[in-house]
Amino acid sequence: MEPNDPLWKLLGKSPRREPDGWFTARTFARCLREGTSGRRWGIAWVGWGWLAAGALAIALMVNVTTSQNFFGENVVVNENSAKVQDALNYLADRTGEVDLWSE
Amino acid sequence: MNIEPADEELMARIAKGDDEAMRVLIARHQQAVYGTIVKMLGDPIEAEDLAQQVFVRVYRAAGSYRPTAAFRTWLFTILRRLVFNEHRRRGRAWLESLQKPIEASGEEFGRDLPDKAMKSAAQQMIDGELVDAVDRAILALPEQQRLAVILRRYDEFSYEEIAATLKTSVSATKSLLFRARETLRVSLASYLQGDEGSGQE
Repeated sequence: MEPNDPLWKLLGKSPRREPDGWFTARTFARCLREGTSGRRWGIAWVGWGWLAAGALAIALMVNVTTSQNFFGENVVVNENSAKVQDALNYLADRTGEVDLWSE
Repeated sequence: MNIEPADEELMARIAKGDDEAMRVLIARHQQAVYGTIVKMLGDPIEAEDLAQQVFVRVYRAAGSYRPTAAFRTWLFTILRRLVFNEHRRRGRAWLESLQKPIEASGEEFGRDLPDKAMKSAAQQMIDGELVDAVDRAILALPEQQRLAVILRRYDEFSYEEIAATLKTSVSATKSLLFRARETLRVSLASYLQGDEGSGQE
């Protein structure tokens, strides 16, 4: 599309619209209003990011330490553990239906 | 001799807190930004909102702005993203509205006709129809072709600048403009025939 193209000239008959005389002032005011808050939020994002990372690290540490105790308490090893295991093995080896309540 | 500061210098000043530099930047580029968006969307009210958003983003990014590319290319890249997002947000409902005739409300929608007090009413109506036809033809183009045409014809961007703004190659840009031109020549054929006939030597 070159200046000597008739289409070029035709497009020029619909000129680009110009903003009114107050556009600069309105836009400048909006920049100060929204741009500054955006900058503030940008700085806050950095701070909140570090805070969130620290909180997550602490939460992971707490979870790891408390979960070990939890699992530790649930693992019950006593003199009946071997018998329980034998019973389970017996049931696993049985074929057909198994009536757990039958004697 | 008062030499105006370059855009990059203004951005550096804005980054240091010189808000007045932002006002200068807006005044310098408002016509191009606003006028391009009006051509892209066809709605001057929406265009003002989007144009302001462009400058707000420029202002926010002043601290991190690095002049690795021409400022105008960077500015219009922001414009492109906002306009294309708006275009997608509107979707088909907006495209269908282009088919409806423009309501005569005393002021022609989307443009300011030149003040030609000496022109007859009939001539003004013809001019209005021509402007309307050109605007509709441009608005009917796919968004990439539309922006390429506007940047080339109204903002006088080079092929390289258009390619950088559209994040494409120069050859792809030329292809876009070629296809846009062919589409426009068809949609504006009746007006072109009149112009070509009158322009022949």
